[in-house]
Amino acid sequence: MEKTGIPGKAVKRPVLRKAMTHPYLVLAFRIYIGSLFVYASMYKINYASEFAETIASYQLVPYWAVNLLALVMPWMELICGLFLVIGFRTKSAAATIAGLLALFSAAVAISLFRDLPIGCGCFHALGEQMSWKTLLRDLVWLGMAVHVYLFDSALQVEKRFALAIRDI
Amino acid sequence: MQSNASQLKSAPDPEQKTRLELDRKVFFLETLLETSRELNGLIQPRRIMDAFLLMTMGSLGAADGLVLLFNTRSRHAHLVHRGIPPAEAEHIEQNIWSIYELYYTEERPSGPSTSMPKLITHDSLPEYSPLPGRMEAMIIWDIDQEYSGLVGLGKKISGEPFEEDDYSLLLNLGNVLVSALAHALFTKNIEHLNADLYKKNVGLKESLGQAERARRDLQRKVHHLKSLYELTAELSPLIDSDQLLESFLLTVMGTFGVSRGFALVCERTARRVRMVSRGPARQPHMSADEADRLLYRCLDSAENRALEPMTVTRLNDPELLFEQIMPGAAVQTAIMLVIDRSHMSLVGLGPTLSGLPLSGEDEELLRAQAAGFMVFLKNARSFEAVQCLNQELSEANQELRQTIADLTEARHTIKVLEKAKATLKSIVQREADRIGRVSLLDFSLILLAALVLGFSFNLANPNGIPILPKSMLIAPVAGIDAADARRLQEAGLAVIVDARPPEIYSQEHIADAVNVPATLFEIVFKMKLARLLTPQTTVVVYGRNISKRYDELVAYQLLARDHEQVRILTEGMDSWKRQGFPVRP
Repeated sequence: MEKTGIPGKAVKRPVLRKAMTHPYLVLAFRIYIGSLFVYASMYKINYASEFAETIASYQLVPYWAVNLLALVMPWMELICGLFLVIGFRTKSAAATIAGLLALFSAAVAISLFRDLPIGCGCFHALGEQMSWKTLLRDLVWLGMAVHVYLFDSALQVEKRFALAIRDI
Repeated sequence: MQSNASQLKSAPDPEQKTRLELDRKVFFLETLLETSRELNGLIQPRRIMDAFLLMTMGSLGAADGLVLLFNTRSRHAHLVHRGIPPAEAEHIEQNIWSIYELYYTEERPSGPSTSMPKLITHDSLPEYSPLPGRMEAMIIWDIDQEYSGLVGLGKKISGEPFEEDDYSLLLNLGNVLVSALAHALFTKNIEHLNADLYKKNVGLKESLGQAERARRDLQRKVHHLKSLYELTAELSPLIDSDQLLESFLLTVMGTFGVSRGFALVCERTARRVRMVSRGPARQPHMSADEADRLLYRCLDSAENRALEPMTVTRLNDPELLFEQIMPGAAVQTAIMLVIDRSHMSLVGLGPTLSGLPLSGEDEELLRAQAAGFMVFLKNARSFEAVQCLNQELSEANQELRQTIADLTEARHTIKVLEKAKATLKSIVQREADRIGRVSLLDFSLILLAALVLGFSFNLANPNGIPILPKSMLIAPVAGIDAADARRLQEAGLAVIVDARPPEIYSQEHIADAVNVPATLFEIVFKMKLARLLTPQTTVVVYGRNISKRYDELVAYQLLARDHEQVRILTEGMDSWKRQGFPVRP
């Protein structure tokens, strides 16, 4: 806790911090981000070729790696999303998702700078045109993922298991 | 004698004098002979003394006299007197030992010799004397060391004094007395010695008898001990109860000369009977119930029914007792051995070879042998028990060893399991510790899972996509540089195809290039390109970026339509533009 010298603020900050890091809030973020990625992965898994096109449209990935990425990335999203929802390996899952979101955000930002006329392809190949809003949304999600990474503690499957293990 | 003496004195005639002298001597000798003869037949000292006094007083004509005999060893004294008033006699008797002391103060001669009598005349008598004062003559003597005596004579009846002849006669008479007394005392002594000897003989005979009895006892005891020793030597190496029983029976039968007999041992708790018998009336094995009944009957006729452990008791009326069970055995002697309340033994012996019954001593020996046998039997039982215990112990040991082996194996298993558990625990704990952390392993696992799932799903999916681009797998399409392409285009021999998506095409493209996007190839080819192409026309395709090689995709499709003259513009639109060839818009 940082001392400000102002009595009122000294009390206020921990309350805000407490509210922001409340386990249920973090849980809500976690489930939201997890569900989002599960949902997003569904389409990409089913329509790999379209997703490959989307990747290619960003013009950031070497041509030989496009299909590879199109096959692997949706599954990573699905796995990490599921992990976040059920609370298993949440730290790693949140870190992975944060990493992916950071990549997406960077890709969107680069595309926006390049002024590429493409859709973001986040959920559907024929999605809306990419815009600064898209970048902002991705950044918000990235923030949530980082938040989950930092503060998640509630309803973790492993925790109970770990407690049981420590008793042995 | 007095008349003779007076005649001797008064006779002046020498012849007569000589005759008188001779007469006197004859008289002396006759007196001596008479006295000697008188005393000779007597053996009682008192009677000798009495006769002597009478004879002496008579021959010497003394009015009174006394004889004293002292026994210095037994302090007994005999007094014989004549002519002394009773009061005086009593006085003498009372002072008898002071008289002795008065006359016998001098040292007595040592040895068994008898001293000659000593004459004390009236003149040499002491003034004071416990004897009556009128004593005229006295003789004292010693007979060996034990006896002493004195003779005292009073005045003569005639009143005359004692003369030399009188003294001489008295001394001679004293000699006779001493001889007679010595003889009598000697005889008496011999008699005593004879009596002692006889007594001692009787005692010796008794002792001999006793010695004989003792010898016989000793012999018997030696025989007993020898028998016992033989039995012990016979039984000691045996440890088996059956062998003990048989050996005992044979030894006992041999000891007493018995031709038939039996012995049985009954362990009532174990319901076991061991029986051996010898002789004509050999009996088969006996059951436990029979043995029980027999034991009860025996107990009924036992002399001692106390049933104390380790005791032997005699059975009365053995022939009748064993007649029913062992007919013809003719058991004469039977004993019951009580080792303890549940363990008893019976021994029965038939008649001896000599036909005589067993004596008390023999029975005693039998009891001793039986007692020894009981000890051996008990030891054998203990040994058997110890063996049994040893057997059990060794079995228990075996089990214990097995158990230890099992335990060792189990411990080994437990160790292995513990190790496995520790390994598992460490793995699990490591995993548990990893929960709260981000690890590279997690990422690797997620990536691996995604790879496997993605590839698997793609393989199974009918709309699957190739993992690598087609151009990486088949031969590349031939290229053409921008100058050649321009020349051919100007000569009308080439058609330039822009393979990129329409929106990019619309941003900038080579002048006169036909837009044939790879995704819309079929439609656009039919609508636009098919008309422009002849078999000789070269199709120059361009359009690629880092992520997509549109030109190659379209070129492959054209080649697939058997159009051979398909080239890819080397370095794409950039080289075209560098050459300064026209682009649109």
